[in-house]
Amino acid sequence: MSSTAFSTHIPDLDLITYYAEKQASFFSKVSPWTKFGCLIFIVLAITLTRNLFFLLGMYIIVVVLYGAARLPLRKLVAWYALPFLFVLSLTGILIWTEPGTPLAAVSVWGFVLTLTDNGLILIVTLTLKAFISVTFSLFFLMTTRYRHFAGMISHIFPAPLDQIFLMAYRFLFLTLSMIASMLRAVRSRGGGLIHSIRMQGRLFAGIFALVFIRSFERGERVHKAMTARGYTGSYTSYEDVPRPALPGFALLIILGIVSCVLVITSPYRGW
Amino acid sequence: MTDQSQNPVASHCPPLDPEHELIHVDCASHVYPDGSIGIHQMCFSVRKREIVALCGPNGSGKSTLIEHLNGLLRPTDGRVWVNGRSVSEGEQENLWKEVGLVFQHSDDQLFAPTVLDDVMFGPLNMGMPPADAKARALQALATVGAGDLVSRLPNYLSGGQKRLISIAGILAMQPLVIAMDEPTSDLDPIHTAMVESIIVDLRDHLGISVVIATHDLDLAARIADRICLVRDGAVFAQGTPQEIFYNPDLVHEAGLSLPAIVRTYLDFCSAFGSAPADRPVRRDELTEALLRIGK
Repeated sequence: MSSTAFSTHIPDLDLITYYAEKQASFFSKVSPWTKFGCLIFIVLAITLTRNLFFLLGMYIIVVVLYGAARLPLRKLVAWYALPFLFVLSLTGILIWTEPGTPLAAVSVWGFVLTLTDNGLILIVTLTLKAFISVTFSLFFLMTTRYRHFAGMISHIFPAPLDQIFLMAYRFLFLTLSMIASMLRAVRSRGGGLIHSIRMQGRLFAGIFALVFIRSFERGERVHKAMTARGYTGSYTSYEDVPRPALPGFALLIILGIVSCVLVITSPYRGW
Repeated sequence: MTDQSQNPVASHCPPLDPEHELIHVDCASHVYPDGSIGIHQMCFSVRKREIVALCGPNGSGKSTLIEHLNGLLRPTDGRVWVNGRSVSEGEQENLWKEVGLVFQHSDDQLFAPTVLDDVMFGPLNMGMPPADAKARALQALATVGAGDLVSRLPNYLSGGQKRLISIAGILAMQPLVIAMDEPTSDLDPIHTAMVESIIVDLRDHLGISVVIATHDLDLAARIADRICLVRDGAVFAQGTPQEIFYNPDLVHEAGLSLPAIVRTYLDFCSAFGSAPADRPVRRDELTEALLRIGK
């Protein structure tokens, strides 16, 4: 058996596909268009707002949805590591420059860095925004069959962009599978991701580059196997994407109205 | 009779026999863009309802030949005929419907998120309605004994299960010929036996001709009707398993070693000082032959 899980902190695409195809919950039967509409609303909302309580409320809702869909919460917490690091890398400097009530001060090389309440709110706000978008994106991917996903992409993007998108998505699987194989080989001889980079950085960089070359080669073999079964550049989806049911339509209309209100009343004001 | 050309480069192939041959390779050559030679003046044919084993060491041209049969590669010289149509002259549209390829590494072939999606891929490309394609896929999965894997994810299957799904993916297209590249490599004995049984069933019950490229002569001895020894991109000897495998010089010339059954029988005859009167290539034949010597 193979798996792309080479780190607990990087989303396992095979596991995501497993949940998507297993269709274990009510949300798997909800129209993908409804979930996609919700995703757009969420992205729009977290872009427009800086209100901590609004974000906290949204976060609780998406986590509840994620849990209700019987998706793995522990994995989700582990997968938060990368977005959190991303937020930290963005706010690492900014939090010390925010005006507000000082909470703590650190002296570095003669400079005094002061953490204010607004600095702390900034990091919490951005972390919540990242977690909301990651959680709901995973929820969407893990409750939507690939063939429905492929059908949606075909509707959204013109050919051949849709095929490029879909093949690139599948190519991610190959690349991650290759990286997983490489790391297994490294670990089997006492190496490790961080350890090997530190000890044999140049060699490791070479190996890493080779992984991508091998992924391309394997991608070519996969393409050849697809061509041998009649693939001519158009992935045929055999199921139409289910349309939203009445409650789904109603939800989308409500979210559309809320989005309009958000855009009209609060652009860049940070309510 | 063993058909052996002393010169491994055959310059004249037998004429096409459209009544009995499904595939006819007529002095085909293929040179890769980097200048390396894949096949060179290759003569090869596949008849109806037969299992042909292409036996040769790594790099002898087996896989290159197989890719010509499906139209993935075109010969740079010579001709390939499939079901009476010349592949070489651009008439290779829909060739994949007639000759299915099972690749050596199942991971390269299985790309869809579920087993059903993958097996339906070929029938859908043939333009079948989804319901028919699904029925065809389920039937193919049942034929290979993998009906219970229909909703599984290929990435979470074992190597043997992946191989069965790969075969089902081709079988669902109901081709005239199925070409398999190293069909039992990396498989455990149980899955090897399953794949062997499927290959024989394809011929006996579905009337499908099968080409297997392998360097496993034990496998070839067990199931093939005809053996083609390949070396340096050309078939240099062909015949029944008995004709080929009881010619040790020929087998060694191909860079291969004799099948275990043949070795055992020849060693046994040598140890008992008896001349090899029979030519067993399968286990049941070996048992009978040894019993005869014992009597």
